Amino acid sequence: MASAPENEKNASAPEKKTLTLKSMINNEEFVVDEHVALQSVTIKNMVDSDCAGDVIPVPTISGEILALVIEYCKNHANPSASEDDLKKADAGIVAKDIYTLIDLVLAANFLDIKGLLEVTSQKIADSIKDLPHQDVREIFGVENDYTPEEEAAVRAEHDWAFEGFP
Amino acid sequence: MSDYIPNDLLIEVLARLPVNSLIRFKSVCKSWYSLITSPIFINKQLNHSKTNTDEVLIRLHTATDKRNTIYCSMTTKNSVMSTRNWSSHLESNLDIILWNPSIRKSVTLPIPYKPQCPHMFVLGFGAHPTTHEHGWRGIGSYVPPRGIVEFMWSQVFMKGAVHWVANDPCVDVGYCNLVMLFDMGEETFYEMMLPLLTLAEQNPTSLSVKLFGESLAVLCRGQRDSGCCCIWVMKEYRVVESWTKLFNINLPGMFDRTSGFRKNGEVLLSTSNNCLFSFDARTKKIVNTGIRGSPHAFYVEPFIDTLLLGEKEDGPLQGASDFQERW
Repeated sequence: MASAPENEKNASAPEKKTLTLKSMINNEEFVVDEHVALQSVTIKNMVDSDCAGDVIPVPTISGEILALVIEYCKNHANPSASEDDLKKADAGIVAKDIYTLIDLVLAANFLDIKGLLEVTSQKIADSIKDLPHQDVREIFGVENDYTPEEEAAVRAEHDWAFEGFP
Repeated sequence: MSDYIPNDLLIEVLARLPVNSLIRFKSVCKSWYSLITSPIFINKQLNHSKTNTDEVLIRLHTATDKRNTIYCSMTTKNSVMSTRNWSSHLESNLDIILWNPSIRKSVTLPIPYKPQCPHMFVLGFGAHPTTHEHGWRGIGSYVPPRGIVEFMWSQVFMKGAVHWVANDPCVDVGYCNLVMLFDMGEETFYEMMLPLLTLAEQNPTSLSVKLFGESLAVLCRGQRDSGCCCIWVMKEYRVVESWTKLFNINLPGMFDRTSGFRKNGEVLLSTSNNCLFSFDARTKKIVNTGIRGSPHAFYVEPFIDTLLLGEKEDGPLQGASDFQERW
């Protein structure tokens, strides 16, 4: 087969294509197999419409988060991974603090990776469900726009739900 | 809403929260309040809840006046069972009460036609596939004459229809049972045959319908105290030929009756000394749930944690509906 013409060789064993993703926050670069990166619908659209150069710049996502995203994509691009393996691997990826999870869900949203978006959203929900609402305000950067009277009235609607909470 | 994440993403996260957290998080700010009480969000949370829960609601005690009833719910997550309890004091005089334990709210619907005798009517509960209103409306649907459904018989709501075991009163000797259903969307009654010899000819009081996973199941109880129960499922919905006998439960001397199914297929059985056991028919493993009740009170139904009945047109906030327009 070594003497086969170039085009025939490509057809039987296509060369593994790679893409380079670059975090625009800290300029970290990641070289990934194309089929791994294409799990991101955003990147797929760029590649399909020939908008992707050699290096794909990823704005607003840090290298740390991008590494997690790539880990997720690698796991899910592996055809021999069982559903159980993937579940375990996903749980490992989202075993992070709440602020990292928020960055991760934003990245999953920007890159349009449905599975990662779902698993991260669920983990955020699990992490905040038992927190007092005051802490939730802080985590999501929400300003309390209630007057003290209004807040008391809202709380009174379901006073029993606040048992054990400040 | 949030300085950090866009609204659609925030909704994606909040819709995965249990109702208990959501009603506390109405206190976060005004826009969270209007989001959490908006019908669109309530629906989205319901859809998540439906697919992710294995929770069942269990009736434990009924007082003689039937107004003070104790319920608990049971769910298993990562092999850990958790329960929560309610005591309901629902005042009713032949009215219908819609009660959502998750938000501890009830709505009373007075019965439009009060029958002279309290046991001479059957109610079927379900949800219309497109509208989500609760209330009464007369319908001119043809009622099949063969389907007599008794007051206390069980019902299952699935695939947009309420299902009952019914019985044909025109049969002179023995019984002829069938499943009657009322399709909420079409507002039409239908009949489905039951397998002959096995289910169709049993005493109808020994039959009940239950939801088994996504399928309609019919339970056939053996004689009282026999500890026997036979479980059939309709593998393909509305295909009469697909009725299949799933398994027999045969635990004489111990079990009083089959109360219901869990999402994992395990059967909840009550004992003659009022304990509730979970039984895996494949492995034959029996686990005591630790839940106790009073005689004949056990009644198990799937439970979905939802904010339904908690919609707000106007909250305690002046003009809360203004915020809703953002959604």
